[in-house]
Amino acid sequence: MPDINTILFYIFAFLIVSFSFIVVFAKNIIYSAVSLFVTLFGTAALYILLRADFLAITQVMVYIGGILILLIFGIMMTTRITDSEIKTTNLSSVPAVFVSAGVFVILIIVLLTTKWNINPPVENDVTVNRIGNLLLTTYLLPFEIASVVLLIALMGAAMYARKK
Amino acid sequence: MENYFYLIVILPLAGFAVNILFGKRINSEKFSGIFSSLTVFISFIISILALTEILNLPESSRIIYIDYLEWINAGSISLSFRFLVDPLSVIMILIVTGVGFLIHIYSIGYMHNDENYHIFFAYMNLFIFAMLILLLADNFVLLFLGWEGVGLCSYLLIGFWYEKKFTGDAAKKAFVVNRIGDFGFMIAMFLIFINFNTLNISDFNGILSTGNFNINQPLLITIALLFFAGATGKSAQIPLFVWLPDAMAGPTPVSALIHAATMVTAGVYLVARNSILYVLAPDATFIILMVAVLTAIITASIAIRQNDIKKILAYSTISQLGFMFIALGNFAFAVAIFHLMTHSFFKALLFLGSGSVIHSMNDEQDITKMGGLKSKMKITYLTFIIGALAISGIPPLSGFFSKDEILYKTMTEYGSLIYIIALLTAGLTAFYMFRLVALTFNGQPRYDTEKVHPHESPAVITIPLIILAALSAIGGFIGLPHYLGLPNLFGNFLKPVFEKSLALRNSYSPEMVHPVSLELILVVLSVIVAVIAIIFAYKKFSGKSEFPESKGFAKVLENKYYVDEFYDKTVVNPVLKSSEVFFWKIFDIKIIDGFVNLFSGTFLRLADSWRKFQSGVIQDYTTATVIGIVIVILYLLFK
Amino acid sequence: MIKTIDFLNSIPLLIISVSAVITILVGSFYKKSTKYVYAVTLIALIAAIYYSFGYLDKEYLIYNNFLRVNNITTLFSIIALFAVLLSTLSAKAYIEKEEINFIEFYSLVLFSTAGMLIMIQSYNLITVFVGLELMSISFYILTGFLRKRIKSNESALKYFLLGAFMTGFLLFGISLIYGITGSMSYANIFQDTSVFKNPVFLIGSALFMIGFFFKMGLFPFHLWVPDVYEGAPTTITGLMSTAGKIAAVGTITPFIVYTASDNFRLIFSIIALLTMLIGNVTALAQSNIKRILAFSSIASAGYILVGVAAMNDLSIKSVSFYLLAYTLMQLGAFIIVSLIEKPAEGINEYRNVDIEDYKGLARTNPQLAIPLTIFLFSLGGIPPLAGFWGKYYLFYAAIQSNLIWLSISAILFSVISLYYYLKIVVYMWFNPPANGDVYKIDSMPSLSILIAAFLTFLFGIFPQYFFALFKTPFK
Repeated sequence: MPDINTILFYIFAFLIVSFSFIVVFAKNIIYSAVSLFVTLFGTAALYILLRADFLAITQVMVYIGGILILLIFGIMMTTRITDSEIKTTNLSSVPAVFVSAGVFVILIIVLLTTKWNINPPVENDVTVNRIGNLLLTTYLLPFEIASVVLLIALMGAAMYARKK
Repeated sequence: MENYFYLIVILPLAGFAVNILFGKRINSEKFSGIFSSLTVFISFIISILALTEILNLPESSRIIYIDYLEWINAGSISLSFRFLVDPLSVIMILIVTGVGFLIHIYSIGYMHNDENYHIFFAYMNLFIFAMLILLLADNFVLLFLGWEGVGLCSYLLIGFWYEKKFTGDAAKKAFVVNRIGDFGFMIAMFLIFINFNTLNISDFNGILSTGNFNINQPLLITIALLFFAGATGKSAQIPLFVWLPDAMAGPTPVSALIHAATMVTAGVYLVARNSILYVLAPDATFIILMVAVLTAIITASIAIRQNDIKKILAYSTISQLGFMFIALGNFAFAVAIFHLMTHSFFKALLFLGSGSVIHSMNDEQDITKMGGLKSKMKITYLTFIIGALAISGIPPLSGFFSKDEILYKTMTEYGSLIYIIALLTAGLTAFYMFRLVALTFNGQPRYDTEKVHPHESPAVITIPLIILAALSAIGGFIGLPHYLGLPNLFGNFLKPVFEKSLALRNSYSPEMVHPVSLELILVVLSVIVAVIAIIFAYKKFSGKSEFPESKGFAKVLENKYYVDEFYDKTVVNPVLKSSEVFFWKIFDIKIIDGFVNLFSGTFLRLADSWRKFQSGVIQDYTTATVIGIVIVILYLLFK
Repeated sequence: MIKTIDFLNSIPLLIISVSAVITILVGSFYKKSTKYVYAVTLIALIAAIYYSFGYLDKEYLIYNNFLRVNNITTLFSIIALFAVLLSTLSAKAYIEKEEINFIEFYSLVLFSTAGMLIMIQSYNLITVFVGLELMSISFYILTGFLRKRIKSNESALKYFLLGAFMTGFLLFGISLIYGITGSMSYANIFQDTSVFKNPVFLIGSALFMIGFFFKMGLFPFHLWVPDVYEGAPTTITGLMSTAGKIAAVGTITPFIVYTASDNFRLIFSIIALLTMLIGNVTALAQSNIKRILAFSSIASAGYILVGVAAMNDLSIKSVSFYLLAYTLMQLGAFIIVSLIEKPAEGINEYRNVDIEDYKGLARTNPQLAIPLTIFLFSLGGIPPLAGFWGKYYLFYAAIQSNLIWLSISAILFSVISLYYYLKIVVYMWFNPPANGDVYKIDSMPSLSILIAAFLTFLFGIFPQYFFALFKTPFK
């Protein structure tokens, strides 16, 4: 009898994969967007199963609270919702199939054949404190650089949007 | 020495750069001439400093290496701007900068009013620079750089008056003939690099003097002969001597500096520099001797029937270079250098004197149309006589000492037959020189006295003549023969350079001891021959005014044994023919061009079709990228 | 914890970052201060180069082992800083001409430079990644800097999309490496050499390297290069094709040489071969000079990979020398192209960038034609110019590793490349002028051209001067 963690993992994994299919194949872009919502939520749930509470919350906030909402707003503002039949025209299925199959095979092989460097499972604990500490001590430099990256992204966006 | 020595080389280069870049803008003859003469003069002063510094060192440590810059360092080739400063190179740079300076001064007057005055001086400075690099280089590549550099300058200066067609042809001939010799030089370099894994001259000589080599090893003979092939080109020996007489198309100072005093001695220097190689390959050295003897006698005999004043001097130069190679062929390296030095004095003097004559005769070079210039150009006449006596070997002028030592060495090394040929050449030398003097300066004027008014040249021309005359007169005293019981300063100074090679020579062929009386007899004999030749020539040509068409052997001599015609028939024309018919029309146009066109056409077609991959559509780009990634990873997984 | 000594050991990085922040601050308060910002940028770059020389022959690990200072990183940093300096020096004239003389330009250049330095010096995969992103995002923005020109916008979007796409693979590679070694620090990754044979590690590092191959423009990840180089403002193209490439090569080459995995040699050789083939051959059919130079830059990346594939002691030496030579000639050429280019005047394409426009340049503008000829000769590998020795050392390194077939084909391809370089030279010197235009050249661009041309000669005649920097051996 597998433990509850494993069962939950498979449930969420199934949800993620099946809704990913809908994301790709749905004809109506609103359906795609909503399915993406489920996929991203499922990923957040996987993080919780891995005891990565901080990551899970970040996932929810950034992807669901930020990106997805932005996406849906974008759709709403660009076309009328009533006839939202948005299709991509530039489909090159044959190479796409080849590429996807290739990537799939690779991932499967990698998964199965590797001896991963597995850490022992951690006790239930809140990781936010430790992450915060590490970010401001050991990982201060990458953290700072990342903030600079955000700064220039902001600057670039402002510059493109500026009149004149 | 390191901290100032590089200036010797840099200064002439600076003179070149300034003249070529700014000469036209400054547009001042005075500036160009004086500036470039000054750079050479300062180089000369520094060379003297270097000489005194070397003289202050103990004899054993007089070979100095100065490393300046690393140049190329690739794999096992490691080349640097390393100068080899030893008595040999110091003497050579003193000659080049000293004589070069005098000729620069002379050119200030001689080139007056020339349109490209500054370019002339720029080339002259560049020549001095290249020559100094050649002499100071401690690796063959750098030496070759100088070697090609002087060749280039020679080409540029022969063709300096390029408006005249024959100067261009002469320049081309000089260049092409020299290339043949250079080819030998290059192959020699490759062989050295392959077999000795070095291109440094000092390392190469060091390896040779370890004693691990047998005498007359085929490899060494090959290298020695290939180097000599290079030397026959630059120093105008048989079979490549034909370019030098034509090179007289250039301005006279150029003939004096490049084609008499300095550049043509590069071959002699090269052989002397590699003395150990030639000691280890006596068979090759014997070939040098044979070639040299033939060159000396043949060109001397040509000279007696020439009428162009500069051509006579040119053949005389070849003949004298032959004498230097005879000395080398007898393993008398120091003597060869000694003769090189004295020759550069008196031959520069003779050329400059001839230039003075040509100048005052309104560019007339034919001595049958001169005569009676004695009274009109006193200084030129007197200095010319000194030069002619020196080259004829009349004691106590400089040529006497150097030439007699060569004759003596020939006698003791290879016996009487070669000695007699050499002696005959010496007699011919005296004969053609005084034929020249008699026809030019004595007798009645044979030119149009209405139109031409010969006059003495200005001081800027005569002063270098006087200085050179003085040097030709007394220059021999630093190399006195040992029968006089006085020290031979020159030989002693050069001793450290040739010590090893002479010791090596003694080890397999011990030097025989000859009685002093033999040498004295030979000296007296050669002086007698020279004096007879001089008197005979003077008598015969002083009053001569008729010049009938020559017949028989004289005609052969006049036409230089038809060597040029022979080369034209056997080498030049067949090459031209075959290159036109086969190499150009078939090989080049059909095969090479066809192949090239096919090749380039293929790629151009490919290019046209491949540019379509660059569709500009981003989906295509990502697809291509991912395909690439997948292939890489699949390879890594399944290899 | 970060110690004070860390700051002392990263002065160039601090100078660049601080001055980048200063330029933003100044720019937001004083809009008209571009002249001063230009000066600050130049001074910062010169100071950074000056202080970098102080780190030669030193070894430090700084910022909790996130960055590393040694001969290799310092050398690549200096070359990258030098490339930025040269292109910035000449950029002012161009951005004034195109009326995009904003302070953000200099800030972005400085930030991208900071990103390059971080990448090159990083000793941890995290810093590699953030440094790369810092540089790339700055480049994305700079590519679209000519906002009113559709070509520029298009190429910025293309560059951004493809760059983001490749970042995904890069990150995946990093996570695979982390999964195997349990660490992102080079110190731990390189500790156990047995891990280099692990297939997942190989795949991870392959993906990681491919992320950089994309930036270098190697086949088949090169497709963005011509479009982006053509569309970006010319001075930015110069910057990207030199400094950006130096940073990518400088980051990945030590990584490759450390892992020195024979598994990669064949792949690298094939990629190098195909890159040289595609780059040189496709360039033959181009007529836009920016595209020609873009393909030439692809081909150069191929040459560089020849030296990298050698994976021996000579690799880093030869690659760094080539990068320096390449910077001089490629940047010099781009600067001249940027001077000849004409302002848009409402047109969506770049004007005066076709090689037809270069006809007779030698007669109308010899002061541009002569240096351009020098740079093109150097790119074609004609001695005695720096480009010749650059290629020579790369191919020599390959021969040392028995990659003789690769070296021979590389030489063959550089012969092909002569065709399109010399075509421009022939147009310039032997054709009648296309138009009588005499281009205005400011003092700053001519100074940078002069420096580049002088150094092209200097390192062509004395390549030893460069190698004199290597006093201590590597590793």
